[in-house]
Amino acid sequence: MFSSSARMLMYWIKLARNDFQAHTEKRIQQITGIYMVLDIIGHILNVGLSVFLPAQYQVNILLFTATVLGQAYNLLLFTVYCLHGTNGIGIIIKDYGIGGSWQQGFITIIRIIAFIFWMLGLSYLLAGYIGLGFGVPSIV
Amino acid sequence: MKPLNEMTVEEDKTERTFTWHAHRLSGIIIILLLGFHTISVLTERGATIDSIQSRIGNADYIIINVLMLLIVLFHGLNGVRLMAYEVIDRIWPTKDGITSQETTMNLRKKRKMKHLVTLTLLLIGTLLTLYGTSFLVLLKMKAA
Repeated sequence: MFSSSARMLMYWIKLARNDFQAHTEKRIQQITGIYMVLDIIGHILNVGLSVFLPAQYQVNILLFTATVLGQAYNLLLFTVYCLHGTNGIGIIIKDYGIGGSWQQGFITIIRIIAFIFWMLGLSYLLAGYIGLGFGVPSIV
Repeated sequence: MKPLNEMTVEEDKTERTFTWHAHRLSGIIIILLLGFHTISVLTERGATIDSIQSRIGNADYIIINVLMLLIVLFHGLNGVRLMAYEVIDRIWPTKDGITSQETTMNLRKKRKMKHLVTLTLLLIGTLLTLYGTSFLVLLKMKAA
């Protein structure tokens, strides 16, 4: 979990520094997009199952999110969504040419804001994992 | 509509214009909606089955979720469609270095495949929308 988090951190730094080429940005968007589509379809199907199956099913899902594996999965999902959104904004700005000569600076600012948002999410997940009393909702 | 052999590669690509804009707009809306959703989930303390059920029972929650379902499905499936189109363009290229007869054949194959992909994704999107919406309403009724 921590090594993959470190790798993701490096990825974010590269993204903020605009180290990626346009085709890499597009590839990131496609890979994260496929992952998200699969997750969303799974999420929708899960809602249906929650109606049919007994309440214990929902309880089991909540219990799973509280485990290390569940939190690692949440972190992966959160990262994928953040990357897709941040990268997407960058692509839109470049395509429409918003910002003129300030364009790159504008994109970098948005990526830094997204990075801070991602760090906040990561801190919440880790805080819940360590057991600081806040972060990932605890099951009562 | 122009005959296939008179259709240029550029004209073939302009079909994307409307969906490209809609794709970007839906992306921005999703960022805002998911941003609020993430913040609200992260700031919720001590989630219980009861608190989740009362949230599901809220009409506003259902409306926002149905709206999100529609926008997210459009954005996601349109993204898959664009990727599929790219793959189709690579399988049946219509650029330089091939004869006009091959170009016509490739354009025909491409058009068929693209229609098939679009129809399949439309079907998947419609089914998922009906499935998701009906179960969200059922969940609300169950919670109430």
